[in-house]
Amino acid sequence: MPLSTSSSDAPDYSRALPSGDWLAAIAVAFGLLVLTIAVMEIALAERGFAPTIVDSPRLWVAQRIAASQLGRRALILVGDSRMQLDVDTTALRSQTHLTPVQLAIDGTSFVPVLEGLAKDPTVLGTVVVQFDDVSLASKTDSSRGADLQAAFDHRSSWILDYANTEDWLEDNLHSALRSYADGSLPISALVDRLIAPRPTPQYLRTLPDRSRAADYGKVAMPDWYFGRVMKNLGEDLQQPGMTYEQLYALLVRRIGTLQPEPNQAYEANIPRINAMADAIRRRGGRVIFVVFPTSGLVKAVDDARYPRALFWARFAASSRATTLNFADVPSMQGFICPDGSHLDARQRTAFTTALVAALALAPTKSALPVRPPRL
Amino acid sequence: MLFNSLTFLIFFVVVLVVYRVMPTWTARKRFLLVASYVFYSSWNPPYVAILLFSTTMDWWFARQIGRMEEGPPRKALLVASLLVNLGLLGFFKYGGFLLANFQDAAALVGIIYRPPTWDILLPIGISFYTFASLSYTIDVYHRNIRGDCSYLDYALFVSFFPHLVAGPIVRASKLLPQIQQPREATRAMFGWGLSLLAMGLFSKVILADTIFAPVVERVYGHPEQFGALDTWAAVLGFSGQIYFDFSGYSLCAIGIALTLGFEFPDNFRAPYAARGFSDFWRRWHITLSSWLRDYLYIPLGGNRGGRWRTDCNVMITMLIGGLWHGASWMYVLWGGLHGAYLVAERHLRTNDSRTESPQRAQIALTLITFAVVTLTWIPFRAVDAHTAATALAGLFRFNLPERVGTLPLVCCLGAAFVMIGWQFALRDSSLEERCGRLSSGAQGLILAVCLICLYLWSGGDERAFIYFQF
Repeated sequence: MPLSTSSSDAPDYSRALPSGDWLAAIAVAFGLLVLTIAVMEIALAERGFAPTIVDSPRLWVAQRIAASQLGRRALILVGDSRMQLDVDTTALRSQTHLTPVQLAIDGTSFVPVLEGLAKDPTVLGTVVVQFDDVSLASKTDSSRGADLQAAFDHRSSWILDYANTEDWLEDNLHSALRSYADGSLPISALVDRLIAPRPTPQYLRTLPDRSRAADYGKVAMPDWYFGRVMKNLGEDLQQPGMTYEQLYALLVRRIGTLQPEPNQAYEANIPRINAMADAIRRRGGRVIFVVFPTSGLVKAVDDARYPRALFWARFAASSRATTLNFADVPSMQGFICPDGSHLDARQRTAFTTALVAALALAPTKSALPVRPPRL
Repeated sequence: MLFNSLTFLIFFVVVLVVYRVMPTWTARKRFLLVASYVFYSSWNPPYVAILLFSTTMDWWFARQIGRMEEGPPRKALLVASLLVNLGLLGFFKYGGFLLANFQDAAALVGIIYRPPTWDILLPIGISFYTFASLSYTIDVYHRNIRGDCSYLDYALFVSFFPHLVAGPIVRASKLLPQIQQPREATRAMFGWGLSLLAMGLFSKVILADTIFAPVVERVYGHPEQFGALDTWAAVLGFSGQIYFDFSGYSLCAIGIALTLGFEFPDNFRAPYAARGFSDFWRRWHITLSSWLRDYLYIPLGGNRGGRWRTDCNVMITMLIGGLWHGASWMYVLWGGLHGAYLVAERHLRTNDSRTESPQRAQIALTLITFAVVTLTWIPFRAVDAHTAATALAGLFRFNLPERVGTLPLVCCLGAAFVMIGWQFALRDSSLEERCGRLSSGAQGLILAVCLICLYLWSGGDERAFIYFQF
């Protein structure tokens, strides 16, 4: 601040406005903005892109509230994208007479969500956890799941709440425009879908209950598959001019050199996870841990890094909850994931039926209510 | 309700339309008051009560002070007003900080003290509206203004939504007369106000949040993992982030007020083109620095008590100015460093009798000022002394490769250098003057770029304005 007291007058409030017609300028700018949006929407439509429901925090929190309100009728699905893509919630509802609640979150650990369910005394239903070794092997739970759980914990039911209003407006706007389809930003839609010479087709649909349906018939195979394998591996081994056979051979060789991950953190986390499951079970709920199908080299990477004997087997042996690995169930062994990691939409109903049968989720005749309960 | 949100967009359109159709000036003011309280309640409805309490108390105190003759009771009322305002601010903003420091001090002498859990949320904007409100009471006490304004006018002055949560810190002597007399936004005011809003949002969303923030957050999150290039980018980037974040907010606030017919003061005037630190503080957060000058530095004695006394007054002002930003010793350190620079500059200028420096020297002085200000942002941004020291060491850690990524790094550094050049060019000018020289086509094009960029980068994570936390 100035050191002299000589200029102790308050800042000048009278504003010299710039010359020019700025109202006309801003009107022209707004017109150009509308034109840009319209051109992008038309161009995206011509390339076959459609608006989608955006998997937002508001949708997740709404599902989480249902998990509490439904009591014993809730069939709560926890996990990552496999749970979202592989399970047909319509089939699940009709076969179990329970109400599916989709709490799976793409690309994150299941632990914070399970922890939130365990701490909530109103959660009394059946919790199906799509188990993955990575979630237990990592030392911390810092993930989107923790953020969403925090959003649920601090939710406001007040109608004028800013966060609720903003989420509602955003969800409605984003689900109406192609530029936001699949959760992308308009700049990504412009660069990756309009400017890119070979844009990735819209192969994934988000459904109103946050489940997803993938049509792998729309993506270029086997590039897509190899891309998923390398993502799982954490390395891009593809070189220009390499044939698929050469890439496959290179990947097999690389996977052959992988060593098992250290399992100390995993072992340390097992009692924590069991305590969460026990808390739900003590209230009369049911907890089921399921390893979902993987295929090909994606499975090979997982098997090399997280050998069953060192990881899953130890967890399953210690857990008092129901545990199931798809590899142990003949009716599930035949499901091949097109990208190595997820099932196609056309496989979902059959997989769901196999899952319900394997877990004995279908009610016995005597247990069936006169009318299936609904949310 | 952030200015960069859909909720605010709808709120603003509704306010503009209803405000314009209101039949009388009193009705317009009543509507603006209700709208301002709705705006404030969107963060935390119960804290509306604090705003209402603070407003009512100050209005009543000022009214009594204005009516009374000089004497101890009048002074007592002023002290009571200061105690209520600063008490509220201290309780909500510094309560936890004081308890934690008391615990540490007690531990030093072997006393184990466990403070109660302090989970009280800081009412947003309390630092800003408390200072705005205090200016009224103090000005009435000094008989600079009369203390007889209506409750409606005063409540609107304090809560007027464009300045309520992050300034500019408005003075009662300047805004109250605008509220008391009917005003109408002219076509020019309305158009320029909307243009400022668009430019302010561009500054915040594109420059601060999209270009600078990702690099800054990554490096300051784990400064030990980054080498010299990344750390320099983050340190320069934070200079850009905080400037565009806060000046962007100020532009939005000024623009919104203009569309409703009200004029706010500038809060920034090319601060990174400052020549020296006193010049910097005439250009950075002008409404805070002028407030501290008029209501703290000058009442302390200003420069009237000799060299030593003046130095003390500068240091006290800057330390309190630092603490105003938040309950952390890092802010105090930041304020203390700036105080030390001002004292040193004062002594150097006294000893150097030259009045006019050659242009090269002025450029060098500008660059030195910018460099020191930028490095001094390190303790301001770092969460603790260890992080600050690690980031500072990172500036010389040449053995680590670049990790932030080429594109973010180039964008961050490039934007930082463009910002310095732009501020240098704007040093003795103003945004209005520069924009007024543009052709009408260029005016429309610039605003179109702002709006289209805002659309293209919309839909990502929303970041609150940095100064909301203060």
